[in-house]
Amino acid sequence: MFSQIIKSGIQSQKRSVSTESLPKLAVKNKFKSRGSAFNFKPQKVEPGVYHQPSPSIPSPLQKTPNAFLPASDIRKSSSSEYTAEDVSYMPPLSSVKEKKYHLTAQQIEEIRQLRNSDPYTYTRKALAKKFDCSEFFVSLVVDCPPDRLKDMAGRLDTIKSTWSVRKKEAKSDHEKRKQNWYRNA
Amino acid sequence: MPVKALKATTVAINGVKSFILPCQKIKIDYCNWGGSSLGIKQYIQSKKFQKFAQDNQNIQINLHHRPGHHPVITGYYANGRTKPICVKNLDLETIDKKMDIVRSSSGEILGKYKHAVQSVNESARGIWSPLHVDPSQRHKI
Amino acid sequence: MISKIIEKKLVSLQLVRGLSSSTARSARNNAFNTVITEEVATKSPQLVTLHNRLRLPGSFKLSTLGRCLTCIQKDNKYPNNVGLSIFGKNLLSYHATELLLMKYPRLPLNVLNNAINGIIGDETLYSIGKEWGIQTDSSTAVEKFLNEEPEEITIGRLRFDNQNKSIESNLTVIDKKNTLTQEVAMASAVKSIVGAYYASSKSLQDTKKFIYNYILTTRHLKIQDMFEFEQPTRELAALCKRQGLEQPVTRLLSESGRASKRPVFLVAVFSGNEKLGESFGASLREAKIRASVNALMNWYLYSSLDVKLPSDADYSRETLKEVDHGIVIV
Repeated sequence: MFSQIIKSGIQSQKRSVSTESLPKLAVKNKFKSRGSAFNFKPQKVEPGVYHQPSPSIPSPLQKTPNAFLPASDIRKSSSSEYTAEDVSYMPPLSSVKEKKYHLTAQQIEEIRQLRNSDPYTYTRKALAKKFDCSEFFVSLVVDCPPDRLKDMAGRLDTIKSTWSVRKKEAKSDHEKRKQNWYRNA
Repeated sequence: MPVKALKATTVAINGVKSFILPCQKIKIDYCNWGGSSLGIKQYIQSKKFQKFAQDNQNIQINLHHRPGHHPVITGYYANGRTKPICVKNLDLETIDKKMDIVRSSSGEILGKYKHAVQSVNESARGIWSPLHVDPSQRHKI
Repeated sequence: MISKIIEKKLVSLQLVRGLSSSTARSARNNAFNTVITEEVATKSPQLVTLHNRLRLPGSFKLSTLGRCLTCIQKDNKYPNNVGLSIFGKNLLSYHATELLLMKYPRLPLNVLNNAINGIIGDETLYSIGKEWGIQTDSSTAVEKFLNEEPEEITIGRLRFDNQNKSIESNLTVIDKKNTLTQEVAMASAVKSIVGAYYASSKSLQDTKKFIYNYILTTRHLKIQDMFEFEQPTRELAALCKRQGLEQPVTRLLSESGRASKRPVFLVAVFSGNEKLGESFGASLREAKIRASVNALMNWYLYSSLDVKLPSDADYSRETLKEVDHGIVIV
């Protein structure tokens, strides 16, 4: 009897653990311990020095772009990090417009006159379209007449007065967040 | 001026280049009459205390006779906090250990550090971004 | 050259303020009743511990340290620290300016000024003084008399006419005439310790080491958080034009969830094939502005690899590689 127990004990030690006796999950799932992405198997790498840039935006304190390095700096390289082909895959947000410099002094004077005579018809947008220039250029040429400026500010105030408390809070929060765009925050 | 300058002040990183012990002063209260002060009186007269004062010449040690009270060792720290430890009925050896605790404490409230590293410096590898991870290494769903 | 100027300044300072080894002569020059004698100063626990805490050299006398803690005061019988603090301030501002200018040669002037103020301003020096364990004297003359406070305890504390006098609990008198705030008084003590360090060690290199070890390197300034740009995109365009680079173009690198409530756009500014800056945002406009800010920070915070300071022994003009072109004018 003793020998039987010892025998069975040895046998049970030898035998691999059976999963059949374990309780089964009520719901079937698709997890496979072998094939799952969690089953991490790192590749073997040869010993040596590897450059693995961090997956983040480099800090201004740590890395200066090649174009901003002075010629005397040993970090400056003659070739760019990116090729023209690389850059072609990155769509520009806005196309660079060639500056025309086509307006004459007379036309600029006309812009001034129109803007001051009837600022409600000749808005920045309308003038830019008429003279084929940018709205920014119109703002450089002539300021908005103070009367219209006052009127528009008044209109904005009436719009703002209709805002609910929650909307006002949301707008002021957005302004605060927007301030951080112009900082490193 | 297109660039505006914001205000900032430096923060101390004690221990870089120079270290100033946060413990600046130790006050020892004792009573000449009470029995609970027996240990502290022995300690004050002992060579251990002399050695402590000799080794820590950057700490001001005040002996304060406070009749009718239990003896207290109080540390005063650079952050403005204090650390009082009652040493009533303690023997010489234990008081020596308490003095060491007061000496080496930073004066901060005791707490658990949640992160392994605390630093004022920028992270060396920056803030991780999923959009910067090498596409071949990205997690596949 | 600069060291000579400072030495000259010190000599004149010694003559004016009577900062010499002979205590009798200094007393005559200052026309003060008493000076802090070395004998009394040695007994002061605050002075001895402060001396040890800062690892001051033996030539830095304890009586000088006591003088550093004496601010300009109404009924003051000891010589004060005014001369020493002015000299110390000059030393500090020289080293702080030199370090920042050489480390970040392109720093705009207003950011440089604010950074210097952040390093050696009164607010900073006040917290430095507190960390050094300088105690302030808040008791009145009557209280001192009644407590029979010995002289050595008094001279170990920072003495000044406080602007805010608390008479009772919750009751403070603010008197701005001929008084100092605690902040200014503490800052003047720290400055005068620096000045007195040179006066006693007579070595600019040692003083420089002291300033670096206890004020400059042992504290951290987040200089990257000190910028705010008004029109970053235009400023970057002006910068590229000035530097002879191609006009900057903002390009989309990557994006996630454009139609969702929380979109993320990763955007970079390119000049030709060179990337100038990179950032992300919840809208394309935000990302564009942030990327331009990043590019401008990359420009202004350039730092050369081998920084040699003019006060270094091995400095020569040839080692100066990058000279700033000044700020970008939009």
